[in-house]
Amino acid sequence: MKFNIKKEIFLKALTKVQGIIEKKHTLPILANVLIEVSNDEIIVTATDLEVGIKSKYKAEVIEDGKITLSAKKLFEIIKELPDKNISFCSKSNFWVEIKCDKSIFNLVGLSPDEFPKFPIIDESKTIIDKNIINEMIEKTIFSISSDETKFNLTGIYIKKENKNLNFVSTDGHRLSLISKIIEGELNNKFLEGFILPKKGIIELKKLLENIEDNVSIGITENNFSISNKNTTLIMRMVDGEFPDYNRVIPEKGKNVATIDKNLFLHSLKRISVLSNEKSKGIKIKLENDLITLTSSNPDLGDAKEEINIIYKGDEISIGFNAKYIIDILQVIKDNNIYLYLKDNISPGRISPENDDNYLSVIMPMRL
Amino acid sequence: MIDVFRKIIHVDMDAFYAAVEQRDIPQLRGKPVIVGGNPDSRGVVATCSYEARRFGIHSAMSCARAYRLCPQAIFVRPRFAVYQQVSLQIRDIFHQYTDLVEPLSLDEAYLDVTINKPDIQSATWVAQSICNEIRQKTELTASAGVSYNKFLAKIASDVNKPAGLTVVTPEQAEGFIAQLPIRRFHGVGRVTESKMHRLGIMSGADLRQHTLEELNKNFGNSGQYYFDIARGIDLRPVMPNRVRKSIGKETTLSEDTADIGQMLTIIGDLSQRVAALLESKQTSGMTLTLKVKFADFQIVTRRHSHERPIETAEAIFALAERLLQKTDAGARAVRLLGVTLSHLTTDIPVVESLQMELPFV
Repeated sequence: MKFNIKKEIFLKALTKVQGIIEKKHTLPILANVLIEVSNDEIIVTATDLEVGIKSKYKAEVIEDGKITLSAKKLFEIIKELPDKNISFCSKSNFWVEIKCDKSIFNLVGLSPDEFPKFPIIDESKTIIDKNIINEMIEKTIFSISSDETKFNLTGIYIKKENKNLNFVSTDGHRLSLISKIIEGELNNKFLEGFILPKKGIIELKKLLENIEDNVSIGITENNFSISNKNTTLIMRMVDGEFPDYNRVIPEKGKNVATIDKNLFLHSLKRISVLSNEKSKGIKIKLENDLITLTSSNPDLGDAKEEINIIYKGDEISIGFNAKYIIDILQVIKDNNIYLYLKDNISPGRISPENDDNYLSVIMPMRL
Repeated sequence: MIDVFRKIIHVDMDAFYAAVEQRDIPQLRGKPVIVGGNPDSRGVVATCSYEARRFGIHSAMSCARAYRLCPQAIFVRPRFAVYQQVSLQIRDIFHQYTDLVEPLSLDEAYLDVTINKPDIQSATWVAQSICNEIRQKTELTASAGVSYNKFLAKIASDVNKPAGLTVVTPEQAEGFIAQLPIRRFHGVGRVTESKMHRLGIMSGADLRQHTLEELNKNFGNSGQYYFDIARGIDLRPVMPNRVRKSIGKETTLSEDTADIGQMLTIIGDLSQRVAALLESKQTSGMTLTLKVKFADFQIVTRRHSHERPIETAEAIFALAERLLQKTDAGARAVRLLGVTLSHLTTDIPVVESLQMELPFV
């Protein structure tokens, strides 16, 4: 195996796989990238058996073949090389010689035959607007649970309901739901619903941010893939049942406040400075056209701020984790938000003023 | 008797842990709910809802047995941080009335309201007001017993559960005690009960027929206690700062035994019950004591201090088994076994604020 490639291109290829490689994996081969060389291109693959990525790059191929090398060491070496062509040449026993300008590295690899097979993906793909998917991820990713004991909450739940595609995530304390009309046919799996793991979602988001064209989605059993012309990202769906989210979404009710998003966001950030460091609990009081935010921390002091809003409902005083509200306000583009409350202990509901298809449900805190 | 001038209330939350779960998770309301271990584990029932009690389930029963009695019961893992928080809320309510509050556990306390802060004359009104306030502030119900001593107040709180209020006035006390089955008297366990029955004592009225000498002869040191309570006398004060120093369980065997296997079965059962108590009080202990009373009434104790806190039933059992080997049990017949944990690590984390959970089921 022998090929030459521009440093800039190869560095991009390695950067893309760094997030997938597990630092501490029991299988040594998973610390490596697979490089397959043929027909004027190289294919770089990395996987942790849950999430895998495969990308094609142009290269000057002299002799076909396959190698695997440590993703981390290779990245560290390539990063420091001058901006010139790099040449790779395989030797016996999986050794690889890397030359660039006046540098020569000899790296020991592992047999490419040990590298896990990349699942074959269903051909009946659906083309999807990448901007829509990106927005749906951005608006739900922050409420994914990171508690490994609640395995079924460690991803985004994706389900088609009528003409809409829903993305839902929850950590048990708050929930985000975005619903968008998607053109075109979707695989039946979308009707059943499935959960994509957080790690896969993070990679997907990176991918979508770095490509220009739209993506196609493929589903084979429990594998989900998304690809454009050069890259395929594949991930295994989370094995578990997502809770019935519809039953925890409160009715809108009569107590609705219209609040300037930026004023609210900055006030929350200020007030939460003096909340309990861990719980981030603050108090919100709604009364006639006024919202009052307060916090207190026995070790530090207390804070209070008032904002004029539009509100004609009941007087309500309720505790929330400020971070949960901040998280959703940060991804809302509208100037105003609606905050729906029922009483002092029921969940709150937040939506952008002009988009009824996005909402967040936040459970209160007893303060 | 000076005693009759005290006004004591015993407040006991109704099916406390289960009620909190039903409050927070509406889907659990009206259903048999069991708070405790998993049905397939060796855990025990900490509390169960009234719906579950109809199936014969009660606390300290093994979860496996509870599951057999009621397979449709919903098993919930306890959320002690939440119970702790609610318990503090309730304690705050008590302190609006009096500082003479003696908490027995998260869900139970004695209050001496002879002199109370709002200066309410009637202890019944105080009890009513406390229960109402508990209901308003926590959406949970409590039952209360009102009387002139702890013994009667505690029994009274159990009479009209749930959400009941029972008053035993000094005038009513004699009649109230007379009709009580002997099992309901505090301190009367299974073995004492059958012994009383053998002596023809079925109720409080029967107990009252016996002289102090007779009771002393049959029940040793406890004779005086039984003599007093049969007459409604209990002078124990409400102690606001009582600190629990140990947690333990002991049991008198129905028959003396020299069979080690049988002793280990009993120790296994005691270990489970102590572990359940530790869990419900959110503590653990550094020292384990095994108490063995031989057939000839000689009592020996063996003790082990551990470098780390002991809290699980398995750990308690393993240590107790080793301690049992250090006694003559087996060579000599045994009539009572007890397991106690002391040097409690009662650093209960006080939750300052509490995030509620989305009510998925």
